[in-house]
Amino acid sequence: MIDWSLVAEIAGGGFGVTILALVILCVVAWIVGIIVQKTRAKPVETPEKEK
Amino acid sequence: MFGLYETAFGALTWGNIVMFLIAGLLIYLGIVKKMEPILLVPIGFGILMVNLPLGGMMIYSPEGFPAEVGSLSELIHAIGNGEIGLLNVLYTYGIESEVIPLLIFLGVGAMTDFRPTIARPVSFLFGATAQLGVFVVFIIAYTSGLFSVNEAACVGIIGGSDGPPTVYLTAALAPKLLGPITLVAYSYMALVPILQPPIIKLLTTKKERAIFMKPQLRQVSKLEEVIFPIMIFVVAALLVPKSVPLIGMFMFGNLLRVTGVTDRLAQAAGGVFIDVLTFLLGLTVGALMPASVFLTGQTLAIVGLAVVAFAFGTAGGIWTAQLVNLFLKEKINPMIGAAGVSAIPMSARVVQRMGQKANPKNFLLMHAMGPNMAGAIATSVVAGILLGMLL
Repeated sequence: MIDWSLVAEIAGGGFGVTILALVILCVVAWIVGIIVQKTRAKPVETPEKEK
Repeated sequence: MFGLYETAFGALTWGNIVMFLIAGLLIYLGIVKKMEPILLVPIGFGILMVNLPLGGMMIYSPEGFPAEVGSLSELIHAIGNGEIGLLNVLYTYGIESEVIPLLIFLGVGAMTDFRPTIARPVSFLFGATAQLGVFVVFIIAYTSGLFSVNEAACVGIIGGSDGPPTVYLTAALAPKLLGPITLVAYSYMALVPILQPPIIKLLTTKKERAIFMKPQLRQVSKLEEVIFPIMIFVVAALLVPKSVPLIGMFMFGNLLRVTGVTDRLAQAAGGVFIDVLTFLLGLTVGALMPASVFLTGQTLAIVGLAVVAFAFGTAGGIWTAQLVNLFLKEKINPMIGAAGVSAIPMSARVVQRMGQKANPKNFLLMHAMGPNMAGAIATSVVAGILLGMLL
């Protein structure tokens, strides 16, 4: 006897949660990437040593 | 046969002989054709070990499960009495306990370069939708009546094309199918260059395959590389707690690689450490295939369903890339979605080869590596979701 509600819950729910989780990871990775790129300190020029 | 002395000839069955042929084929494919040799050769030899009668390397219960190993203090006594074999010990403490697949994943993490995924986070979408094959095959396997719910989920995860999550999930949900599922998963990963091209050709036009993408991705800073594994682990752990062992090991291995101060640990994890674990896994998986367990209708069904899983996984990634293209000014080559099925780095290489064939100016490897890596993360997430639902 096939339990169709279980099939729907695992296949539909499982795939849905997978997409949702990966979309969230995608958004978080994208936001972190933007923040890091914007806040990355500009390379500081090393002052010339006084002779 | 000779008084007290007994040879194994009398105990040989036709099933054993068929398994010798399968073992010979795997060893041949590994050595001569160089197909996943570090796994297929140990698996082939493990099959020989368990199918030579009276050898006692792996003892089975009448129900077809590996004999139970008692406490450590009883171990030597049990081996001496022939109640269990050496491979029973490896199975119980290495695979049933999930130690070996998780430590292998640590080593894989230490060898993985996530920069293509960091540079283009949309890769996660391709990795996610390439899991379509897992769920389609779950439905087919379960509704066929040949598999229980737990077994069907384990057959489906073959579509994720990632070894450690497949072993991890199957050891937890359907240990009796661990042998055939692991064998089919690793064999088909080696067959990706044969399986994927016809599916990609079927689902894309020549014009789409020729879409040019600039060969360079944006530069990824060291800080991003270090933040990435920590961030992915924390977010994935909060969203799918059961994926923590897999994602945790994977990301920890990667963190060792990118910190810049733990190079020795990363080299150890991605070197001899993973090699030793891989042959222990291969040998033990081979020993999970005595004729009585392997030569069944279920094994044949797994072989067929795995092709369906790969096909739908590839299709899921391509369809998503085609959908994303509807909203992009600068189109992406939809073939990179096919690399979301993981199978690192084979599917990315397939995309690179087909892309160059369609447009010699194209160099898609780095673009395809992003979905490839995202696919590995996605399969771990799927394993966690299925464990959470079924365990």
